[in-house]
Amino acid sequence: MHDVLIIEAAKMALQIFFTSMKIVGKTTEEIEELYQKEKQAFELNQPENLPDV
Amino acid sequence: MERRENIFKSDSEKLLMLVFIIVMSLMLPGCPFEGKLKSFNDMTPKEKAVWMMSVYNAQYDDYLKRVKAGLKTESEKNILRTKKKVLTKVYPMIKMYNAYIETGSLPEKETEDLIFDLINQIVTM
Repeated sequence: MHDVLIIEAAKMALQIFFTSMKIVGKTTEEIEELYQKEKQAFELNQPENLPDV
Repeated sequence: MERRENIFKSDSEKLLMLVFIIVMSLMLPGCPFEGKLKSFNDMTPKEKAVWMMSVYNAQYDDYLKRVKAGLKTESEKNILRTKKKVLTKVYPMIKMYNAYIETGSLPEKETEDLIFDLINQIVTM
């Protein structure tokens, strides 16, 4: 189980890093654009639609 | 002499860890990314919302990809089950956070911290 957790933690850390990089140096307008784009996807990605495993 | 089993079984896992180590070392003092990344607390409310939704959306897509690819072990399934619980819990909170900032209100620090902690829970599962 530990090796799976290590891999998951590394994946998530990288994802958080690259997500943070998305925001670096962006203007207010660009942030607004990103916000609308992410919000569109977010509203479609409702957790009750995730299949159970 | 006994041979220790390598915890990284596949080449893609080894590559992932290598990328992880390289990226983390780029954060060290004197390196290109040092000081460039904003911490969560330094972000504006809108930037925080972008960050939260971006991580949520990425985790959502990852969940679906894993299920589609087929899960081999019980531990993989348990991780996904826990992920689904956390995603379910954090979704309405992010929605509420967005509602706050769209009305021009400043969300409470406690709300921000709670969402941040929930998202980070996915890392420590």
